Amino acid sequence: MSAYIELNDICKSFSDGRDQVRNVLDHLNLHIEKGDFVSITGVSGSGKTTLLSVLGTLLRSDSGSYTLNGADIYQSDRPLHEIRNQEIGFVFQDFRLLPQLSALDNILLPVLASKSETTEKEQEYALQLMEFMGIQALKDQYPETLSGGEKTRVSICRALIQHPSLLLADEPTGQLDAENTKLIADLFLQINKEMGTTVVMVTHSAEMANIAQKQYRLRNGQLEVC
Amino acid sequence: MNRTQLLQNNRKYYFRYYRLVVVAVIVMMAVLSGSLVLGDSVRGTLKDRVAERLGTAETIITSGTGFLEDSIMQQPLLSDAQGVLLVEGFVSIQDKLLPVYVWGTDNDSIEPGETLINTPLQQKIDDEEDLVLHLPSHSLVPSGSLFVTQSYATQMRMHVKGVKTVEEGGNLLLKNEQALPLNLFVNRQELAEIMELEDKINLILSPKFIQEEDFSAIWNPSFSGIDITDSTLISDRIFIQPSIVEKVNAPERYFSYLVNDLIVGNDTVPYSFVTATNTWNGQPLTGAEIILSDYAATRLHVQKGDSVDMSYFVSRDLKNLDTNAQKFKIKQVVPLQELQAHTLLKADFPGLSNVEKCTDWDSDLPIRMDRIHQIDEDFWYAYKNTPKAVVAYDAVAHQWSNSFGTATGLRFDKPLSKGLITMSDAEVSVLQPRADGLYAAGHGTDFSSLFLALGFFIIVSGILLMQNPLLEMFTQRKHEIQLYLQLGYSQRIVQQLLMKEAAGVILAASPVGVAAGILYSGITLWLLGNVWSGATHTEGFGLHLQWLTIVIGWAVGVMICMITLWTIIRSLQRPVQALRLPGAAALRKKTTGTAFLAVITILLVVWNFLSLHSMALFIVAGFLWIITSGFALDVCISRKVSTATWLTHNSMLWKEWYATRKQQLWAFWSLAIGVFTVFAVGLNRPDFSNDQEVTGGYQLYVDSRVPIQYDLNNTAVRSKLNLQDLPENTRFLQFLRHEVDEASCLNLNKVATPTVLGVDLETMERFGLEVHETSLPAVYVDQEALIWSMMKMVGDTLVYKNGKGENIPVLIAGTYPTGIFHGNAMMQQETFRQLWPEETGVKVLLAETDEPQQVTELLATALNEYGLRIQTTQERIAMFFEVTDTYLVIFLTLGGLGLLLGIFSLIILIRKNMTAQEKNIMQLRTLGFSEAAIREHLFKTNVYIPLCAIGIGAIGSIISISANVAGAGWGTWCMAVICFAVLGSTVYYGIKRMTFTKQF
Repeated sequence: MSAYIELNDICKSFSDGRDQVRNVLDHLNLHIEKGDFVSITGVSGSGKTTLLSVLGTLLRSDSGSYTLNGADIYQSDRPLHEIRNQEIGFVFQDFRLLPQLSALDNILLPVLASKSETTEKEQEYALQLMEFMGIQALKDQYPETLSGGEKTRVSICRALIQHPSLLLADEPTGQLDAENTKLIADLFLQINKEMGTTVVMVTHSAEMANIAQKQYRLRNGQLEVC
Repeated sequence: MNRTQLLQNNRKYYFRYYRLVVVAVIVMMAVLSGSLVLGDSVRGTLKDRVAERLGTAETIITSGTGFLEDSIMQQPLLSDAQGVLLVEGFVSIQDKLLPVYVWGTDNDSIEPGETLINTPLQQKIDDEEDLVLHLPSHSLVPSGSLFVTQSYATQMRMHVKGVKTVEEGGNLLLKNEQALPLNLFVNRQELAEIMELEDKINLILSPKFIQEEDFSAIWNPSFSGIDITDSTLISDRIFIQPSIVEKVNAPERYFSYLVNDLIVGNDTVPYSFVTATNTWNGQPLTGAEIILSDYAATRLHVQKGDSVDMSYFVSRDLKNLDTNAQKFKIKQVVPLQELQAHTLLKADFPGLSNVEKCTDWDSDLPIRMDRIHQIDEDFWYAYKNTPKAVVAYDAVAHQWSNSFGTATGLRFDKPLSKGLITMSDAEVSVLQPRADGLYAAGHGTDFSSLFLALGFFIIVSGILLMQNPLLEMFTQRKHEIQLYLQLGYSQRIVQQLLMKEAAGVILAASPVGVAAGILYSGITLWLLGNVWSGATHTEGFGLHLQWLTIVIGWAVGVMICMITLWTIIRSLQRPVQALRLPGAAALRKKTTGTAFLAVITILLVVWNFLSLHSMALFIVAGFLWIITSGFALDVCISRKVSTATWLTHNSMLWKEWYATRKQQLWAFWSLAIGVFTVFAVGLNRPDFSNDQEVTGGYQLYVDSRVPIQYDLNNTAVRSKLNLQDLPENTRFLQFLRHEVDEASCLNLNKVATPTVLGVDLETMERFGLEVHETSLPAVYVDQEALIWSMMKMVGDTLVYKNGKGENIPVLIAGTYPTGIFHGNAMMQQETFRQLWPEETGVKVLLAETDEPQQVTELLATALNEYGLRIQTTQERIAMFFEVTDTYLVIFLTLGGLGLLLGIFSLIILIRKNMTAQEKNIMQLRTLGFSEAAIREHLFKTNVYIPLCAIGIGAIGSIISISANVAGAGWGTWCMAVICFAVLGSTVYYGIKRMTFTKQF
């Protein structure tokens, strides 16, 4: 039986300014079951963000296959942006909240990718997510007035608004203090357990890495089980 | 939330960028739509002028060089019409000579001695209440014929009664010109009396459409002074037109003439009237036969069979008189009374026939009164202009005939058929001028495209000014754009959102831009009528708004903005190219190519300067210089980067330039080409001081209001006209003129038929005119007038009306370089006389002399009755090239504004680049670079190349005008230097301010 996410023999390389090629992902394989919580660690420049970008369909691998929920992503009739919008949620280290939108509007932003306005149901769900995250009071606040932890929670709500089956997090606690890191770690666990969302998290933090049930290290373009 | 709210939030948040976009859209739309409105307004003004100059007249009936009886106005068809006697004259006020049109009318309740003037004339004469009006002296007999009085000009003293406004028809003018005429309206009877044209008119203005057939039905020859009985035909102009003589084909023709002498041995009868005819008492009179009166036979002591010599004057061109003599054999001697009783033998020449004594004769002929004795006075007292002899018509017809007529009387056996003699035989024509006038006004100089071209740099700069803040904004928002993609927005949706966001701003700003455009065109119209009036020689342009034009201007402007916006948004999706250092082989290739271009450029400049002297090649060389300089800059940057070993402040500069070299090169070329174009065009003023083709080597150009019927190169004429003190080496080149429309750059209307000058075309070779053989009547037009005023080509045909009002095709056989005859068509003199035989007398003269000042004074004094306007040929050239010069000033002004805007948008581009490099700059701070060092580095990175571009562009423009550096004049050079300084300092200080004040 195939895994929920299957990366088989994935290669991805980049060239530098002097025509030299660097193999960032070198025949990488990764199998993730539905509902798994996976953490990936590695030194700087090991290709963690590249791997996450491939998983998030933001980058296409040079070779190999990527299957998501039984469907080959690169052979599918379904546009990648639709998969990204409906199936995958992103949480970034630098939050990437739009300064001109309120917290609630930032959370609802993914909905407008496929239609011109949000429904009442979606708005209610956004508020529920905010309540779940403990930030419902911040719905009309703008990003520049929020703390790092609050911004992270807003971006997590945004990542979950479309009920994705896969949540990708790139150093979600990179800019947070210890207290907020723990808070976020607990939230991710909750999301994984209560919503059944598959979580793949890239992190430098050992504390964050340890909360995952499966841990990998990315080295020389390949994943090693920790 | 919805997408509309998202877009509104975005626009509000990024308003500091959008306000620059708003400014750019307004500027661009203003120039674009304003130029279109300007074109409509100029056309509208010209059409208004058509209405002003035609008044209520829908039909104009003219009698050419002849006249109509004013009794024709009693015809019901002309009940609403106005009969006018129209004459061209001049008024002298202080030292000014003002050419005027004198309208003799029966309306307006003008008493004799009074005049109404129009507003333009009132502005010229200030508060003068009394005027002396100078007019050509007219009679019914054409001035160019031999038997006219001596005075060619006359005067009227007029008191200015008031002003006839535009609405009252004060600006009447029959030509398609927008320049306002100087009009005087006088009492027609008074005018007719002064000009010996009692009961005559030469123009009918009707408010109704009158077809030619309808007028022809009411016209008969008597209205044109052609008196026809059952058996005879005479004309009040004395000479009967050749076409009428041929049509009637009368068995008996009569030609009355004043001969100098009838001579037999030592016996002479001076100054006698003799009539030529082809029959006498039913018998043909041919060969050298003469019927002598008994009076003459007695005085000459001759009888039948004897010979008599007859001498008489004949006139070549411009009354150059020759004396001819012929011998006749007396066929018969008849009683003088028999000759006296024959009315057709006599013609009433003005000044000759209606005087009491011979010594009262007023004639242009050189009659020696000392030769007239009492016996001659006694004859005159008794018999007046009864001929003393009758000669065979065939013997003298080809000598006595002229372009005005080949007979003074006709006799025929039976009445002429009705309609045999037509209106066109009498030069009468019916015209509907309004449609032609409106067409000429609507198809003249196109100010829309002219000002779109002049404002081109402002439009381009507006586009750059719109582009750069958008690029800066999107650069700042690149993470936002990435986020949309990461959140699953498709590329298409992202592009749509960005398009809609910016498009909303553009659409909101566009009506403001259109309104600004209307203001821009209003200001420009005022400038064209005032500060820039050198370009138009016209005042009072009015704003004419046409909604279709405004909508088109708006739509085109919005389209340009949207295309620009779309190009920017598409460019955001392009992947960033990885930086690659230059390979040795590629660098070698680039260097060789650039060196080759440089060598070509230098060779071209040197060769052209030493040998070819081609203006076009200099412009090409200037352009090549700029292109080569850009490539040289690229090679220089690449070499510096590839050979740099250790990192230094300077090598950092070269590496920064290398990293953005495409952008740097485009900025360099844009600015350099902009500077080059503006200044190469603006400084390119032709210098005619040594150009023979332009002046033909003549020093003076003379325009005469009253035609001069004499040849001023003739010594006897100079004595006659009190010009004997003219320097001996003074030579005149004299031109006949058939006036139609002004085709120079001073007339904004499209010209269908330019004024024609008749001259011996061989004399025009000095002006670069080459004559070609043609089968049709041909003209040669100056190059500028052909292209811009007439919008025609060599080989096209013009249609002129000849003296009889018939349409005659005339071929444009060639061109001549634009110079002092700008706007005129040159025609061979003989062809001119065939087409317009009645238009005698010289109206344009060129004088070649070493003493132009002296000649000017002598001409002005001796010929003051003729209304001479005398200019040096240089002044005349300057008058025409003032138009070009003014347009160049406008181009420099608008181009300079456009360049300034371009520099402003360059500064914004630099700000955008600095925004993009913010992290790098923060990194430098982290590494310990001082604030001053960082700013200094940023300043140097951004200022050197634009300053270099301005310098290169300036040098390129100097190369392009190097053949004609003197043409621009000190004033223009000063302005250019100031403009360079302003541009350079704007770049320097603008970038300095930007780099030293931007917050990171």
